[in-house]
Amino acid sequence: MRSSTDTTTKTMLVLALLAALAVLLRLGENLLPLPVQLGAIRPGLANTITILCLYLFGLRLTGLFLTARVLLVGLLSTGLFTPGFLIGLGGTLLSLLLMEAGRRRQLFSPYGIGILGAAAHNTGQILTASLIMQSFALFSLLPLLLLLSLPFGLLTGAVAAKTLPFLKQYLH
Amino acid sequence: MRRNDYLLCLVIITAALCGFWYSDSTAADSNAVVRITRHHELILQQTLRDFPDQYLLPTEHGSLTITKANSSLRVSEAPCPDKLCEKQGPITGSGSIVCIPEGVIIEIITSKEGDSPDALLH
Repeated sequence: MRSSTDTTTKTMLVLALLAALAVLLRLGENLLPLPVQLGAIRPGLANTITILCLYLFGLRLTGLFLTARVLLVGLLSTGLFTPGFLIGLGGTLLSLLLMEAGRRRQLFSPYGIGILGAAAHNTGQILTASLIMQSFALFSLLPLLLLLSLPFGLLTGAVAAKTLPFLKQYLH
Repeated sequence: MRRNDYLLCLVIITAALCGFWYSDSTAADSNAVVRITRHHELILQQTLRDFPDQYLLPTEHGSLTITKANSSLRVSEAPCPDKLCEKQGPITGSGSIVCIPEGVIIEIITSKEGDSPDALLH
C-alpha cells in the first residue's frame, strides 16, 4: 500500500529531476548552432518542463520548481540578481502566470500553452529590461521576438503534449 | 491543436506585424537623429547625416565602438562578455540598440516621431 509520504517523496523526486533537466536544457541551448544569428534569442526549451510541471503538479509546485530552476541558472550562468537574472525572472513570472491562467480556464491545448508561454516570456523580458533601463527603446525588438515565439513555443508545446501521457502514467 | 490555439497564433502574428509596420513607417531619413544615453545621461545627440563613421563611447568596462554604414548604426565592438549589442546587428529607422551591462541606449529617432513639430508656419 502506498502512503501519502511515498507520493510526496515521489513527487519531490520527479520535481528535482525535472528541475535538473530544465537547468541542463537552459544552459545547453546556449551551445545550439542556430541557422541564423539571433543575438540573445533562445528557443526556450526549458519551458517544455514548466508546461509539464503545470499540467502534472499545478501552480504551487511549479512555482517551487521554477524557483529552483531560476536560482540554479542564476548561480551557474547569469549570476544572481544581475540585470540578466532579473530580466529572465520577469519573463519567467509573466509566462508562468499567463500559462496557468490559460491552463486553468482550459482555453488552450498544451501547444497553445507553449506558444502563450514563449510570447509571454519574451514580453516579460522586454518589460523588465525596459524598467531596468527606464526606456521604451527595447520595445523595438518585441515584434521579432513575438514572431519567433510561434515556432519556438509550438516546439516546446508539442514536446510537452507528447511527453505528458507517459509522465501521467508513471506518476499515477 | 484547438481553435483557440490558432486564434492565439493569429493575435500574435497581428501584434508582430503591427510592430513591424510601425518600424517601417518611421524609416530613417536625412533628418533622423542619433541619440546616445549612458545611465540615463545624454551623451550625444546629432543628426544621422553628421554622425561619424566610427564613434568610440567610453564605458565603465572599456569602450563601445559604434559604426555607421548606409544610414544604419551598429555596435561593432563591446566590452561586455555576452556581446548581445554586437549580435543585435545594425539598426535603421526608429530602432535602438541597448547594452544593459553598460547602461547604454543608442537610438535613431526619425523626424516623423519624437519632438518634431506637427507643422511649420511662415
